[in-house]
Amino acid sequence: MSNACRRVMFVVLAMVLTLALGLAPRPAAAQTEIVLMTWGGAFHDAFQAVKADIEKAADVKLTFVTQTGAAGGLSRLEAQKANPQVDLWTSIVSTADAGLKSGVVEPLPVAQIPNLKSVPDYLVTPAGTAIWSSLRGIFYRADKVPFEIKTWEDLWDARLKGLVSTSFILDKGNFLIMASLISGGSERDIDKGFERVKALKPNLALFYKTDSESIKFLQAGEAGVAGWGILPNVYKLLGPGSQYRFVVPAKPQFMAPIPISLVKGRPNRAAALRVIDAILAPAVQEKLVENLGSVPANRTAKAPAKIRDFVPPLDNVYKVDWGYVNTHFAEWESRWNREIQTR
Amino acid sequence: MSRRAAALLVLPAIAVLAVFVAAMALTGLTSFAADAGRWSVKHYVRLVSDSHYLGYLWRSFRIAAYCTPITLLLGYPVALVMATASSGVRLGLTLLLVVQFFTSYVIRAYALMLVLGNNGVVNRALLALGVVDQPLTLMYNEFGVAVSLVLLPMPFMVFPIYSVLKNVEPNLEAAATSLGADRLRVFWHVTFPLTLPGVVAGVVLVFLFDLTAYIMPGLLGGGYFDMVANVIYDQAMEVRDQSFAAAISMVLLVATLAVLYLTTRWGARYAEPPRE
Repeated sequence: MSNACRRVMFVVLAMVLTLALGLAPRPAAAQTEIVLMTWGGAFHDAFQAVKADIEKAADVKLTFVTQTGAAGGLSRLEAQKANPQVDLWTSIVSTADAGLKSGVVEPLPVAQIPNLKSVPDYLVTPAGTAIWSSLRGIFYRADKVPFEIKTWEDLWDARLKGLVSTSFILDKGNFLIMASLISGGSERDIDKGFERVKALKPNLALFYKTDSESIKFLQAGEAGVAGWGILPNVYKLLGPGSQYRFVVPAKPQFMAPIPISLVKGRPNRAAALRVIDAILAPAVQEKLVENLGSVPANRTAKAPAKIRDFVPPLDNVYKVDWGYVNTHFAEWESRWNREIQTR
Repeated sequence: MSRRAAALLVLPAIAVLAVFVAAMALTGLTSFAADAGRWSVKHYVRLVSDSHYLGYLWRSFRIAAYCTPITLLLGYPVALVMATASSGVRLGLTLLLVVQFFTSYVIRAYALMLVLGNNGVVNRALLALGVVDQPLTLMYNEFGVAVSLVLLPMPFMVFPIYSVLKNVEPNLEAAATSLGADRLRVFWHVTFPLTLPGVVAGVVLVFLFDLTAYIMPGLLGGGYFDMVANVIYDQAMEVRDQSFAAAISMVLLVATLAVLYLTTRWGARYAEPPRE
């Protein structure tokens, strides 16, 4: 090939390249990316189902990162404190409070989130606003349990010998608090709870640390009852023909508001607040709770019809003093391991 | 290769080591952190004065101490078969171990539950044969955890021994046989001593795997047989007492280093060929 030929080819190639670059679609102005840290499994699926709605309403690109548990999420935020990589974080109330105290979460600017006007005051704290409330109860296998469980006290029934599983770690000792309440105590009088759980030992098969473990143990037939069940995780296993049952005992009732918190030190604070507002919009709320079997935080949104089948009127929901629990949790954990989690 | 080029090649390793040492140093510092920015040994005092927490350390060392030799007893014959069998058998065994090695611990734990659980294969067989009338408790106790700690780290034992075995000079065994030694004597006096470097490597790896086990005691112990790694996690993540968790970690680290030192000293003494 002659030099002249090479020059012509070079010029043609350069023209084609210039034309291609000129005609190529230009990327739209990059959207603000908001990173939301939440749980995997049913929770991730529920958020995924409303992702497009939130992105459209808040004009952001929403990215999810998974935490294994709320405590794990908090540890990650603390490790990233100097350079946070997450904008929003879902957890449980006690852990969100700990996040606020440790300075990884900033107080929620209530006035900047219009949909908060439809959220009851008791669901909004400086550490975050609830985006739904998740019911706690007893999850069990009807083919393993010889009677219909209706109350917390039923867990102590001798017919459940060696069939009950439970957890101390999950929900920060809430099972122990329940045991104390049904024995006339409370989180401030926890001795009654310890005595009551000691009496449960003949029925106890094993202990789980995460909600997914509780389900796996039931599915494997290693336990017949998860004494502390979290409805969103098992919601999809329920229904006609299912061998699984979920009971929300009438008294005391426990409902965990799931807060979303604003992580301190991120550049796109305003966009993150728009995302919170979008999550609290009634249409998004209804889609979220439909997938999770939960109660919406926005009072104008409706709870899914399916949970009305087995959830009694929620007029006995107990409000745990998580501040008190946080200050005594280490002592309770040590005592639980010595007195309960031993054979 | 110039010294400069050699130094450049070593740099990534030094960087990795530096991160590791820095993490250990930070953990060490955290273990001495007390309230209001002061330093204290109170977390160590709490650990050594509380038999409950010392018990977790003791049970972790105890279970590692007896599961490791069992893994060796079961793993050595597998390595021996791999080194002497046909290439097809060797490939099959290697695949089995590799697949096991690359399968998630959680999945392996649930697989063991299907074997050892109340509705597991073992209990169903025993019930069907009329050997027992109630399922045996094979999990949610030390036994279940021990079974998992014998079986799961098997590749860590088999592969180091196999890598040494396949390089053992066959003429040495043939010479011993020709001098009248039976197969057992050949194995005990010739083959086994030559494979001691692999045995020591396998023992160290399996011991450390067992000692720091987290998922297996968590799932197969059912809360009744937590080990020291579970306690460290609970203290750090759930109770949020990072300093106490760091103190337990440092004690575990020092104890582990001591065991490692003694094992490698022992290995060096027996694994090196005698000098003329």
